[in-house]
Amino acid sequence: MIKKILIIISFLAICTGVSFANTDEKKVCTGFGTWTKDGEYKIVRSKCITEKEYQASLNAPDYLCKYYQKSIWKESERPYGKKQYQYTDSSLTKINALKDEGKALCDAGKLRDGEAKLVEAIKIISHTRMN
Amino acid sequence: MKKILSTLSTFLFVSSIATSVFAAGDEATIKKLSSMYKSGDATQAIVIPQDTKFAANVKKNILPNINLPAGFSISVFAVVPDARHMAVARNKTTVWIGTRKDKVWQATDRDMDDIADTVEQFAPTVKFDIPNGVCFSDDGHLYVAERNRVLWFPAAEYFMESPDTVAVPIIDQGNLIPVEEESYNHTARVCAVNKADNKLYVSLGQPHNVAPADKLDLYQEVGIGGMISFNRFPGDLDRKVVATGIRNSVGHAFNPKDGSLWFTDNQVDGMGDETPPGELNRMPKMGMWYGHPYTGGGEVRTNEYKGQTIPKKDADRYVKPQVEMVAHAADLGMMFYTGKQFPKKYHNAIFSAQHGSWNAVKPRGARVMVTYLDSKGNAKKTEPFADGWMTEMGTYLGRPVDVQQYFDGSILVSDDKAGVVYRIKYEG
Repeated sequence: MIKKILIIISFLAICTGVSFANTDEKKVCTGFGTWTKDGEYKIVRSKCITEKEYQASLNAPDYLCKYYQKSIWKESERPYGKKQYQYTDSSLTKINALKDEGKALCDAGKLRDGEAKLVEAIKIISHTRMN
Repeated sequence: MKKILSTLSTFLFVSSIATSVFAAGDEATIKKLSSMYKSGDATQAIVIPQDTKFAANVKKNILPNINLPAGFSISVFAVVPDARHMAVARNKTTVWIGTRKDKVWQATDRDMDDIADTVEQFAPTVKFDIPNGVCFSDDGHLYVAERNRVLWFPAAEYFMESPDTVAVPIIDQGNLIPVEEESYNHTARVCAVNKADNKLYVSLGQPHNVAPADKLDLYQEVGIGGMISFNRFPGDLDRKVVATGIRNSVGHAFNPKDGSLWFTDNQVDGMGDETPPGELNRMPKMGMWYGHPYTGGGEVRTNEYKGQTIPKKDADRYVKPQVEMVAHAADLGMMFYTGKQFPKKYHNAIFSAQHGSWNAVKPRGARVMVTYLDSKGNAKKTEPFADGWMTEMGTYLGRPVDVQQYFDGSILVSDDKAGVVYRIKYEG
């Protein structure tokens, strides 16, 4: 009886392991697509990482340092993002300076200090009127 | 019809002794249309061809990817460019569809095969400005909530075939919000009629990622970052702010069972890929506060107001979300299912659209959700109902915006990326 239970437990453990492995291997992709003149949908560019890699990136100590920098770039430097807000030259200069300071602190391993500087930049963006 | 004309006559008398400010660019037209005169504008309605290669491609490339529960199927109801929020007529198989541009479309199934035969521009002589919000009342009136104006189209089912449609401002251009607060982003209005007080309810998104402190008093007073109600016929507007603390709601509906108002809310950007959550809210009574700008979504505090004490006047009226949706999914239009076509488990459930967002590494949204309620009218469970508008590569095939019930109990889903309205039916 005990032997049978052990076999069942072993079987379940293997199945669970396979299941987790499959979850880990599941891809997280970002991409862009377009309609061709022939009416076909074509993926132009895509970038994939595994779910495991994605989760690891979310839990990395420098996640917020990287995330905030990217967010600042998207909203205040990337042309489309920048167009959405009523920035002044001085607010953009300030955002840029805070981003540089934050990045330098993050690169130096002072992650919390770096995040704080980057959040200051994001606060300016957040409170800027949208177009 | 008699009642509508009577109401209109009353308005014409009132308007003859009152002065109004009309939309920039179409003041003269609106003045004529609201007095039931021809505009003199020769603009004809744009007609969208339906039997095209594009429509065939949507059927070939998108529909086979959509996953639905067993017994359901999806088809193309209409090709509608930039399709956003929808209003379904009462006596005709017509659906009005708003856009975030300058047009309202009307799609009509004339031969009763559940496919729109004509899709054309509604009221082409009116110069609309972000006419996203369309709603139709049980007594036959169409309302269009624009960026900064609300128009009433009495007897729209009857007047819709003409380029000159009677159009009466309920809130004149520039009076929905202060002109200096106008923006392009967060100004896709939605509207709904409350049967309990017969008023129109319109949401007013606030024009920031996070509203700054120096704007909060003004916004609470006007209803920006909230919702307002007002009379839906000309005369005393009786404008009231019914909810505040909302960042940008683009979907609301009244529960027909208990009359409570439910709404979606889009939450703060720049806090993380998986935070803060999107929201589905219930308004237990009027005048409640929903957290913004102190909370970014759910009960997650914003970086901008972290550590600050929430003012007592707001904290005392705080209502937390009924459902926390996945972050950055952009929950938009919603409806309560009152039909009989769908299985019983869907009766009085909420269907809501997730538009999806690029503001996260992991693409999400692009699906229709269903939320079941318990016997007390609270959310019990939320799950995907229809998905597949996003490929495994993270590419959007379509982006659902709104869900509305069609006359036969099937549901319509608008998609502003593909530019179509789908119909989902149940046959068992």
